[in-house]
Amino acid sequence: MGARQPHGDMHKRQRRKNVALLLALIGLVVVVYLITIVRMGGQ
Amino acid sequence: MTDTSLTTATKTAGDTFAEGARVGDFVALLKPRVMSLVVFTGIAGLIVAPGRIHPLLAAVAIMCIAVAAGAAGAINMWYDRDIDAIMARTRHRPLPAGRMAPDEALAFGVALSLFAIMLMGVATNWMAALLLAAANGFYVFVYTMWLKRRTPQNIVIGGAAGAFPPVIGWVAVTGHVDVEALALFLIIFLWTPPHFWALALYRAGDYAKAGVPMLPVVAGPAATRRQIVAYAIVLVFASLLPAALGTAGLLYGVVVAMLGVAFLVLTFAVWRDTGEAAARRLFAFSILYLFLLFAALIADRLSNLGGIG
Repeated sequence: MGARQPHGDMHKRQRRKNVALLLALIGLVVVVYLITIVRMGGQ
Repeated sequence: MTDTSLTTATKTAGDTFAEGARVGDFVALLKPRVMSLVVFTGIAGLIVAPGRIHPLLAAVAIMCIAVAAGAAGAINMWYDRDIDAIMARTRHRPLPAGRMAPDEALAFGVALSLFAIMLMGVATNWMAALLLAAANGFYVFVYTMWLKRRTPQNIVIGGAAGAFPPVIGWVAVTGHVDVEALALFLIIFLWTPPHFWALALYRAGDYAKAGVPMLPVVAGPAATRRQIVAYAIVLVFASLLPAALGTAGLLYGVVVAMLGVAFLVLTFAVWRDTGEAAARRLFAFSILYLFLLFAALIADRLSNLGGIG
């Protein structure tokens, strides 16, 4: 059990990083979409 | 001594990163405290520039300035991980502490830089994106890789990188560089040496150990104090330029004149006092000085807009 702890922790960290990356990419797509809408409006 | 320490530090950082970095380590790579001042001066440039910009595009422009500054900080930490491991102030950063692989930090910094520059071009204009790329390139290649370890003038010339944000904010609105924007650049450019040399005065031992030729290490504390006074005097006059050029009015002029007097009082205290306390006070106040100066610029502009409306 004790020996598994570091691996479990590592997986948890990796999962958090994957979620953060996914959220950043979704955010980027949303921002680019909004920019396109605003610029198409003549700004 | 230094060579051995450098080798050991690099090896240690490279050997122990297997644990995996936390999300917080990636945030730390972006130097959030430095980023806050960069963002604030960028916002000031955006607000005082003549013209209009859609609030969403303004927000994206500020985000791009923040992300690009953070990315440059990450690349700086990647390059400086050997000397960061030696200095007490920086040895707990993710790379020297061994919590992150160097390649991971470099990839993170480069990717964020490219995203921020491209997004700035798409959201505002390509002149602003070009200036953002120039600021990043200057910080990484000119300051970090070329000047920092070679000359005591490192932060004088390298300070130009930190002076870009208000110009980028200005250009995001106008599309071109004006003399009023260059005045804002000049203020930060002249502010940087007294700010960093005040820090270096009481961290000289750390810099010497890491082999970084900061002015107090190379020329000694007395010469550094004289240089601080010289730059502070020129800075106080330069800080009045926005009022002289019409970018700001009476409110800004009065606030900045008072701030300038306080800055000079603390600077002359450093000149007379050979202890650490005066240098620490000047370093702390210099951050507040720049923050309040740009806050006065924003307040002045907004009060004028209110008057017109």
